[in-house]
Amino acid sequence: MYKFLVACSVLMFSTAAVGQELTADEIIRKAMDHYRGQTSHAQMSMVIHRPDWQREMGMKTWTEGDKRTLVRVTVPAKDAGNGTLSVDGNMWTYTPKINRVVKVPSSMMSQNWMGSDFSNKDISKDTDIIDQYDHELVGNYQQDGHYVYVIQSVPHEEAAVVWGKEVLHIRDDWVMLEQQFWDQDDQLVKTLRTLEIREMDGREVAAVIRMSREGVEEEWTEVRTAAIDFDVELAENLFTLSNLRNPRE
Amino acid sequence: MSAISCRNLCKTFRQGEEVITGLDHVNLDIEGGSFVCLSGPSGSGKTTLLNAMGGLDTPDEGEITVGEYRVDRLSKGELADMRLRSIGFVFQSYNLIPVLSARENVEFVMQVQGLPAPERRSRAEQVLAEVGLSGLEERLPGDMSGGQQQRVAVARAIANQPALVLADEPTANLDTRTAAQLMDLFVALNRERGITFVIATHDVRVMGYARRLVSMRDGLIVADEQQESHSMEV
Amino acid sequence: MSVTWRLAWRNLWRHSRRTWLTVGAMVFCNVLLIFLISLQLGSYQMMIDNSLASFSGHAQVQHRDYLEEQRMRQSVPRAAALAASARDALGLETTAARGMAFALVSSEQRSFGVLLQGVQPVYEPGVSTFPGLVRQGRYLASGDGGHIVLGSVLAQNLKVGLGDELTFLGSGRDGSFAAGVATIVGILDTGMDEIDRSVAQVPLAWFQDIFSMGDHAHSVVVRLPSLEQVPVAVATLEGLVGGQDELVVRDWDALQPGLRQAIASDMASGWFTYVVLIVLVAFSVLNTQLMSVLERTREFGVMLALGMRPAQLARLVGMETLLMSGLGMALGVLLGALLTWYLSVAGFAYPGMEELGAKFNMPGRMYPEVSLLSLLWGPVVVLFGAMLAAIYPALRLFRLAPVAAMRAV
Ligand SMILES: Nc1ncnc2c1ncn2[C@@H]1O[C@H](COP(=O)(O)OP(=O)(O)OP(=O)(O)O)[C@@H](O)[C@H]1O
Ligand SMILES: [Mg+2]
Repeated sequence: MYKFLVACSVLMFSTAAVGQELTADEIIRKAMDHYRGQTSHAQMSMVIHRPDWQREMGMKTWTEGDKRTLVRVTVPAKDAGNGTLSVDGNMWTYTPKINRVVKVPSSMMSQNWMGSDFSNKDISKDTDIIDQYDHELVGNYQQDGHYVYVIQSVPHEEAAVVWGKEVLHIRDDWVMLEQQFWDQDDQLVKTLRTLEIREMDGREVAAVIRMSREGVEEEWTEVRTAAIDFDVELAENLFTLSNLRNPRE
Repeated sequence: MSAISCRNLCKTFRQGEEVITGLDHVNLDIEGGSFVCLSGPSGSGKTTLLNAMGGLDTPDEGEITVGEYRVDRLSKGELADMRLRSIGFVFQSYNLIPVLSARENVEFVMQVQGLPAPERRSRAEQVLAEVGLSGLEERLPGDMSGGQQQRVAVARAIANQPALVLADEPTANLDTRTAAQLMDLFVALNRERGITFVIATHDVRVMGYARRLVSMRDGLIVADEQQESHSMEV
Repeated sequence: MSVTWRLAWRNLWRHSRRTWLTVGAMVFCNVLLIFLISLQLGSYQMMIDNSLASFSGHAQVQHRDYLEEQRMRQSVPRAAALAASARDALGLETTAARGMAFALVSSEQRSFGVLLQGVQPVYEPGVSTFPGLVRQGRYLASGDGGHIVLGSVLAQNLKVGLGDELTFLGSGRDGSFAAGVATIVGILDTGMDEIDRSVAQVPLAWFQDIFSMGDHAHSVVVRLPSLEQVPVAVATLEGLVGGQDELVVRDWDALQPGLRQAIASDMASGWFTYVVLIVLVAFSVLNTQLMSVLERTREFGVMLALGMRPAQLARLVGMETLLMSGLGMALGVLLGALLTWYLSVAGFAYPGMEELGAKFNMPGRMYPEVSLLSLLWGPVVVLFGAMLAAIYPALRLFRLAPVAAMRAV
């Protein structure tokens, strides 16, 4: 009896792992959880590359759950202390130069974040995609011994979203390999690609991701994760405006 | 010099149903330098014959030779050229261009002939003097008497030094004295320049000037006689 | 003058009243055409001038890719110095440097994205009508730093008034975080919603500081007294920026491509009126010349009998028409020129136009354009129309036979 139960559970586990039984929604959910964890804290750098020009910024990020993100710039010194807080789809920016917190209006969420190829929305690492889109598994392939799901996500009729659709490539260990952003006219606008995967804090993590607009591949922005800890203890007031204004670190 | 030769000239006109005979197998030879009158009652074909000779109208049948021209074979353009260079016309009514002065009327024809401007002017004045209009060169036709106007028409006709002048009823609108003066002018031009004159008329006094009198009736030549001319000069 | 020309001229006056009526119709039509065309051209001039005067100027020096991509880094180095040397080279005060940056503008209550303009307070009024449209407070002045002038609708949307502070967030030319606080000193009201909703101007020096621009800006704007001076001014500016490959000089047509199209389509709308006028005059000429040919059949018959060719008679009729319409053209151009010249000096206003002009800081009267084009275009076409109309009467002469014509009454 016990053996039977074990056999069943092994069977169930293995089928789940192969993904036959997983729905597109579940795959997305898992991918989101994978890269955010319950909580996370990371050291990153952002490289904005243009043909005639390049700029690098160091920053720290914290996330909690689906809806809370804090980004704080550390390098270069000129920009250190600038921060962006995003809670429940709202976004605030703090600039030490003028010592003010400014709310980023929702009309600006699709604007570039600080001249990069990421939008404010991308930076907030919002998980809107989970509940504002309908997901459909449209394909799969093998890569490096992994199974990769291809999911097409189309926003709900009434969703306030700029994209016509997104196409996601998610590996069976829940690392997102590629995220394509298509406009309402079904033209590919930009693509976020994972260039390097490394194990950090016991997980396979997309260590280098690059966003580039379709047709201008010589212009891109990379986010390189130097270190990340998942499921860390976070201070209670981390995701508050007063913390944004007065960093304790 | 210039000889006119008509062979078997026929011309009919159609007026509705009616067919009118203008010329009926007319044969006529006119020597160069002669002074001929065509006479006959109204409708006898005088004008039709003159028009045929002058290339204003083409006959239905027959041949006409005027000098070196085979008139019946010429195109419209060639006929116009012939009229312009070799034939002078004097019509019953004076037919001057009313807005041009006597001199300009004469000059205008010379200009059409292509004479250079300075030559035109002196020749026009010379010709007008010849027809006795010295001093009236700048008069407009409206300011001249019928006789004077007809002299301008004569001046215009002889301006191009034609060998042949065709005149259709030139005296019809003139009083006796003026008519006589005009005929004297014709006779003088005939004598001094050797210009051939063919004059259609039913004025008996005019016929008196002719040395040859051709009579017509119903499109036929009914008489052709030489006669003593009795101009006033003689 | 040859006899034929004299003949043609005198023939005209055989029926002087009829000729005068026809000439009069032509003169009237010509004067009307000159007036309408010069008014139309003048109004285009005004349209162009007004629309260029408001902001873009007649020409700008820009980075070669700025017009298309409008990126922060596509800037003009030493812009204020370039503007100063352009002032010297052109002998005009109306030249100014400008910087443009997209920024998030926030008040206590609201935030909006705007295209912030860094302007030279002293020179900007020379190249734009906006500074003259400040309805509350004042325009920027030299020595201003963190001061801003913004459109009335934008002020309303931000719920701010004079003396309030606004913060700016954006990214600098070097990609760094750009931020600043500016006090509102003026609110301008252009009457054009899309401008009042978007315009926000700060002093260029402050702008350059905030956005890490150094001595760069995004354009050097030149406003000229008239459109004719554009090619020369563009050449002068090109001389000034000669060595710098990344810079180009753009004229108004390149800056505002829609403007020429708008004019072209408006131009077409005037045509119908003109064509109707010209056709009417052509018919009047046709009528006159047909009558004059018909009543002279006998005379033409005699001329044909004397040996003139029909073509020569047709030429005579052509010459008569030419003299008549030439007279109509000469008188029409003379009167039309006097009228439009007077209006071009005194100006011309529709009712209500002056109030409108005052409201938009634009000229309240329009000045018809007196040019060879505006004076001659209409009358020349009328002349051609008249000559065309004479073709039919002239052609009739080719059907004339001398004998038949002489018999005609
Ligand atoms: N174009 C024409 N159409 C019809 N009939 C014509 C035409 N021309 C001439 N006729 C007729 O031809 C005939 C000859 O006319 P023509 O003019 O030659 O006579 P005429 O001798 O000159 O007469 P008149 O002395 O009256 O001038 C006349 O019956 C005339 O009516
Ligand atoms: Mg007769």
